Amino acid sequence: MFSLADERKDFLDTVEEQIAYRPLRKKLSQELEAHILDRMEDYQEQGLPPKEAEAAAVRAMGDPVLVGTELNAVHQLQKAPALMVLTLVLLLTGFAASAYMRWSPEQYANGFLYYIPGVLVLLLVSWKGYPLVIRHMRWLLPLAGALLLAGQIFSIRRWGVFWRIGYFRYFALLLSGPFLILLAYRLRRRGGKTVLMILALCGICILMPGFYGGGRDLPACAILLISVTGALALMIHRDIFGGDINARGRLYGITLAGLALAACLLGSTGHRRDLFQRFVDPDHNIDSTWDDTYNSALIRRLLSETPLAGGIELTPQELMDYGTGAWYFAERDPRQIGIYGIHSEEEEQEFEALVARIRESGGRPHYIYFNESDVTLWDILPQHYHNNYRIAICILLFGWLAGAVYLAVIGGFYLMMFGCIRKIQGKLAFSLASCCGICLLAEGVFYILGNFGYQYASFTNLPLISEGRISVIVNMTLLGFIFSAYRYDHVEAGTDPSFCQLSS
Amino acid sequence: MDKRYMALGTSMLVLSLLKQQSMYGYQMIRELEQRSQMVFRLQEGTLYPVLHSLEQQGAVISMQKTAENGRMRKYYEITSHGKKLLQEKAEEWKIYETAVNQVMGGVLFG
Repeated sequence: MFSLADERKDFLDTVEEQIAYRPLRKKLSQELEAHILDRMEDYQEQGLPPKEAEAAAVRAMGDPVLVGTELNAVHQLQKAPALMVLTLVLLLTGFAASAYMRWSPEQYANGFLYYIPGVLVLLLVSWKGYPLVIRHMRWLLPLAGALLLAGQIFSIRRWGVFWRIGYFRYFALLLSGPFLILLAYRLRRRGGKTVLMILALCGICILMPGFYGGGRDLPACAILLISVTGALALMIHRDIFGGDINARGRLYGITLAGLALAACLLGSTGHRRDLFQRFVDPDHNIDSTWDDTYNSALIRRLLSETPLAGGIELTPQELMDYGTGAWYFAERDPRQIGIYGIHSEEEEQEFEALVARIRESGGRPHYIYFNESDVTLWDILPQHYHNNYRIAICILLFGWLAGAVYLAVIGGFYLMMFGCIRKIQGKLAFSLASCCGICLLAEGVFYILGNFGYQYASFTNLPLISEGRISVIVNMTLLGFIFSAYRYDHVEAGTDPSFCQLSS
Repeated sequence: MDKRYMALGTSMLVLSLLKQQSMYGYQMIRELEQRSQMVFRLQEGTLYPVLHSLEQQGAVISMQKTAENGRMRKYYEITSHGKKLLQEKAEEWKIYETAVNQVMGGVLFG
């Protein structure tokens, strides 16, 4: 025979046993127990003794196996197998292409080998990322802020052996987005003030690389701004900041105004404005063939000559013209032909020593040693930048149709990824996953623009496909987080630490 | 009754209650009993899968509050999506109700 509370405990234990996701069991049984206790109180007020009141309250709940099974059916871990398979296939193509298009043997270590830990990071973050973030949010935010600040400080002042930390500022900027959105979610009840504060923080992040030139970080600044404002807009659309339709309209207005102001900071220095000028009008801003802007013009020219099917075919004379830059500079400034932005004897010696080392180790670049007898397409392509022109190279080698298929597969990946994000109901999970997704999309868009001859400042990476070094780890973290937010959406939605603020 | 219409009926009743005010689970059960004069007596535990499913669909949101007696209570509130869903469910229910009335009318009173 059951004693007092045993019957209740037995009911709750039986319900819990049906729930597959263990961390959720306690939370679900707490809600049911509160219900039983409320019902018990009512029965006691009606005159039943405690023991009978409890038994009646438990009976009123129904079959615990049925209740537990139905709750378990609602709270299932979700999987996105099609997206995961496509991700792994694209990663594999990126891995193979990185191995094939290596510039020098050093890139074995610096480039494609990073795919191996990259896959592990993807799987680990997908497996545990979201629950870890929501459980450790309290110290994660200050830690992220401290790391970002350290990255920026070490970029400006290069102290001792730690100066290399500054190299990670580009990726620190990319990863700042989800943390800013995490902060926005925590402070969402303050509405417009929070939106303004987040965009102001974004502005500070954009401004900081400007102190030390930081042209390389400019795309990361733009991506940060796009991902944060995009995620804020989606949060407003999903009513995460609360308020009526007028309040929502006001929040959209604040976001738009903040975006415009922060975007102005992308042109805050002369160097930044010059890079923007080269992005929108590359043809009139080329200094030499050693110049990224020249690569843009060359790629566009080559793409325009590529047929629909089959690769581009060029005569040795044409290859020489493209390799030396004669096709571009002959009509403009013949003195620039074959000159690579080297202005002193010292620079030339240093450059030649570098080229010799690469040639000795079996690397490709011929640079200034073009010779009509053995020049190939690979020699005239932007040499060590093959990694940055994967789509363009695919078109040049196999024709526009192959390139269109390549782009369609990439587009399919993004569609599937945003399809997953759209299905996420948990507000925090949706906000964070949106920011990560927009960040990956913006990287892809900048990369594809670069492949068609419009490069903004430095090249970004095409997530999964064009990777190298730390970028593969960072992008796998972002993507893994989307998988994780989707996976735990039906079991962790509502596990929101800020609920405690509502307690009365 | 068809299981689909049972589920439709329960979620429609829950959303109708929440349209008027935020409530916690037990409060909803009591309201249902009182308003239906004890006709609607659910197995009370089965309310929670319905509520959690509505929450996942974005039709309701929940927030935890501590009651005066120190007990944790999870309040549910209808969202704008939930209001739209309620309207759709009510229309679907009307079609079902009309069909039943037509059949019943035909057999009994035709």
